[in-house]
Amino acid sequence: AQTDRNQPIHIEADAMRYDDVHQTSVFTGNVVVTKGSLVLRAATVDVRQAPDGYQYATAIAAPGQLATFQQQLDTAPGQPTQTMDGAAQRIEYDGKTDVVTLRGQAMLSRLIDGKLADRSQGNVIAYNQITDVFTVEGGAQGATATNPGGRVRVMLTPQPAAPSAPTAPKSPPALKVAPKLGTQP
Amino acid sequence: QEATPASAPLQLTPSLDLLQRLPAQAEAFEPLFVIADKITGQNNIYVHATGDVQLRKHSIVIKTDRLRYYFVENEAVANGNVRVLRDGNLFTGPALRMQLDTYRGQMPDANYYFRVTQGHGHADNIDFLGRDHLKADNATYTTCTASPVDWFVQATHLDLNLADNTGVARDARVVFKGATILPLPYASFPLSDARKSGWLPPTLGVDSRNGVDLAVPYYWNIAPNYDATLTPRVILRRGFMGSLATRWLEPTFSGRSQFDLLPSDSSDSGNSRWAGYVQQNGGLGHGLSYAVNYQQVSDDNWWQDFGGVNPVIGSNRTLPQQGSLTYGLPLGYMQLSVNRWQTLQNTAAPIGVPYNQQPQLYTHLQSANYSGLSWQFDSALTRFTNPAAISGDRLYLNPQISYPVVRPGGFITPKLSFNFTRYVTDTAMTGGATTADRSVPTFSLDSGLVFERPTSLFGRALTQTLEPRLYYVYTPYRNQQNLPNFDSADLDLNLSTIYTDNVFSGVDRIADANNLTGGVTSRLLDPRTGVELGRLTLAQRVLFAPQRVVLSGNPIPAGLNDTFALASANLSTHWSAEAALQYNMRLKQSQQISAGARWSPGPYKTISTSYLYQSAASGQIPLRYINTAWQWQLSPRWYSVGQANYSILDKRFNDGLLGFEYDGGCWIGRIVLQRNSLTQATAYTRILFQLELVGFSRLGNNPLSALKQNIPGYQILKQSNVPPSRFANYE
Amino acid sequence: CGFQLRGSTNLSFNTLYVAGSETSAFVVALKRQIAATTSTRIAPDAQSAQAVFTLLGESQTQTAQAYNADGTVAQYLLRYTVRFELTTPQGKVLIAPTDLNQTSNLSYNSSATLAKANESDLLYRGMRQELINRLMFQLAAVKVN
Repeated sequence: AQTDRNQPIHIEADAMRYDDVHQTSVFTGNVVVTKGSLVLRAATVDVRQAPDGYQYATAIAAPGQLATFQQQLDTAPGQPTQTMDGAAQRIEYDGKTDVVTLRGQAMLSRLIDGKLADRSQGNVIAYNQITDVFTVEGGAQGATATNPGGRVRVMLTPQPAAPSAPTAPKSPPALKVAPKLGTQP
Repeated sequence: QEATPASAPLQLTPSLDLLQRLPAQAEAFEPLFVIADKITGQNNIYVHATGDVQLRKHSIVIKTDRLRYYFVENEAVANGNVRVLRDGNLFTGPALRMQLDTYRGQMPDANYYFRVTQGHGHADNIDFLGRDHLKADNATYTTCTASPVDWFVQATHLDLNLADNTGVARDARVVFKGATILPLPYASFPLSDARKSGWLPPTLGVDSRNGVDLAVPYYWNIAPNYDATLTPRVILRRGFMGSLATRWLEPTFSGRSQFDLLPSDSSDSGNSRWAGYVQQNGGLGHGLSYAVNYQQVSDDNWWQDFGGVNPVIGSNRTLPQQGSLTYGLPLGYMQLSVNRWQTLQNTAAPIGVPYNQQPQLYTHLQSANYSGLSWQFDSALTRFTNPAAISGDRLYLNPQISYPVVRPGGFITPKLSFNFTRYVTDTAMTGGATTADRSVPTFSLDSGLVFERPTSLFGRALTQTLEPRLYYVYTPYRNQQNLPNFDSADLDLNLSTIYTDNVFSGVDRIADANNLTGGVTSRLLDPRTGVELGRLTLAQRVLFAPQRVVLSGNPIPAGLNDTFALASANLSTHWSAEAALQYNMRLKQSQQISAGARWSPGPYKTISTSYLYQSAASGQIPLRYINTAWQWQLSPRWYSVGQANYSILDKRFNDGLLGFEYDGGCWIGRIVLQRNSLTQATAYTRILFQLELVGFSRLGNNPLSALKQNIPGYQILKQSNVPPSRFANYE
Repeated sequence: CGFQLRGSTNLSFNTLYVAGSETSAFVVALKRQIAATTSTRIAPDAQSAQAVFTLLGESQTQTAQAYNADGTVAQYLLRYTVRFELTTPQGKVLIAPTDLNQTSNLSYNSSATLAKANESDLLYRGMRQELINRLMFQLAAVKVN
């Protein structure tokens, strides 16, 4: 949620050491990072405090496993709760831009009342928590047995209920239906 | 014993109950999948995909280079190599805008392909107007696959309804091989092979009597159980003619009719010429049923001038005008009927005018058991009228009892029947009286045995039967010289008539008989299937006493009389042959010889010929005819069809037809040369062209229906094939 | 010479359902022949029968073969064709769809129209009986295991 921005970070882990070369503290072993409604789980997480005060974290999953993160989305009162679920081999959090980047077998899902609504899969997913914009990129290195081209997939389920209030803070860009179809949208 | 082969290839057959489409309310919750090289989006606002994008839903698939999907409007905007697949139909174009719930949208410069008819075309613009409805501007439509296409329809507006599978073209034209052959201000055509209103293949003809004759029938599918074919026809030498043929089917009755009207015939001092028939039968409940067959034409020359116009009336010259009401009884039925005829007389060569039966009350009762004592009773009270012959009333009663004993190895059936007939004529019969009675008993004994044995022919195991039969008839002589003859004539001698009590048909003449007809039938059967591969029947009639009742000529003396032989063979499914001989031992002369063979080695390949010889004996007309009929596929494209009826005595073709059909894949061309003889000297020849655009002009009743009738085994080209299933070209 | 009297004309199925329009003369005549010459009973419906005879088509056509001097038809060729198949109620094919046809010549002149109408009824009745005879041989050869 937006309130997560100024929430403190709590980190639990089996062990922690400080790497003064990079000024990062490295947590290893069942690491759980919570920041407001954001919960990040991974095998090792290193957190860096930049001089300008913004924090940067990188979570790496144990081999063969995926690091995961969940986050609560702001919804209008009375609307069903919405959560974002992400999983990838490596998750990077950039405190300054508030962008979470998932790399390697990345999957980002949006659940409404715990029910899967949308899901994106690809090699790299960048999700901006402020603007609620995500970008999914494929590419050869993302190729898997079932997806040789490393293609990217998104599943959307139209919500027939009353149009759910947009979660993004800014009002949605005014969409004008072009009477004449332009060549570039 | 024939286990279905396990290795039979699996066939994907379309089945009606396969849920091709989600019900409407489920479609609203349908998940939407987007697959691409790169996707960005904002939750609940938009998704923007690039790079070989596929948008997939249960009911629609959109493939494009770039796609933008807006959640709130539920609208997809696609750009670059757009392919839309829906229900097996394909639309391709540079761009698309479509709402994915209402399917309203638009696609410029679009190409389209319809699964069911394999019809396709191009339009400047397509407006998708809903789930199953779209409109195309400046559009073409054709079912030809090869390019350049042989024909296409060019329409400024093409309105396609995919729910009831009809297309409507407005101010369109049909272009065939580059030339506009038919302007169509308005034309509806089928998008499936279901019965739909639409133009039938036009027929252009030139014949020696009527000159140029162009008919463009329109099929009107009024309702599932009603349809009509309207045929406007232009006959150059006579004028404009209209035909209306209708068919109807109701739970309790069904029927068909056709009326043809030529308001003013310029070749016949402006008279109006018309013809019409109505045929209907049905039930009225309570065991009552009725049948009507009424045919009438405007004048006596209809058959010469318009022989090919009305398929039922044709060039008939004695047109039935019949109606009957039948009441079902527990053991039979009673029938009140009226039977009149319109005879198209030709004063130069007058033909016999049949008797009218106005009315007739007929009763038929029969015992229900199959063996043991059984009885039958027939009777009829009839008023016979004839403008050119004696009219009068006739009542006959014909009880019959028999005692059939049926065993597997044979049967014996003694039968005693009695015929009482009373005549009351309007004018005096020959001999002066106006009333006469005749009562005559008949005794017959029919018996037969069935022997079987295994045998073999050319090394092939067969079963041979031997079925001897004896049929004895005794009928005392009754002088029927002065009685009128309303409905009796000599029976031709053949398989169905060699074992009968009376050698005359009808009731007015009952031959005195003391004769025995002995015969034997031998069949060759395939022991595994019981199919008859060949049969030979021989029968010889011997008269123990002269037959004094004859229709013409003098009485037939005792002794050997008619011999009948019939041989038929169909040793393989490809060919069959049959020959019949009627020989008269007494006259030492064959009275009728007929032989025929048919060879059909494969589909669209069948040829049958038959020879007929009839001697001039006993008042018969001498005939020597050769009939040939064939349909033969000459090459993958060309088919020939023909029928020839050649009279050896007159050394001329009485009735001939030679046609060629060209299967152009998406169109069929027919050219047929037809020759019918009218009288000994006159005949008329006719050339017919026909163009059939497969998938566009419905294959209605083939106006050359003559092809089907007199060419046994004729197969219509382009039988409607099963449309490819929705999943046939799955992408 | 090896001929013996035919032993039995019974069929290998005890009940038969005949599927075809009730008013078809062929269906009526076939039921009569089966009842008269075999021990097989006619079943009221397909499920309760061991075999199902389906009359796929029955047609009587009349084509002109020869003409009189005045152009009227002198000789017709009558053709009686039936198409049938025999299956088990479950649909297993016992006799695949088969065409049987018989032909007869009928001389004609228009003044004897009534007499010739009687004669053509007689011919169609005779051809129907001959078709049924040929059909009974095929039905007798079927083995329902």
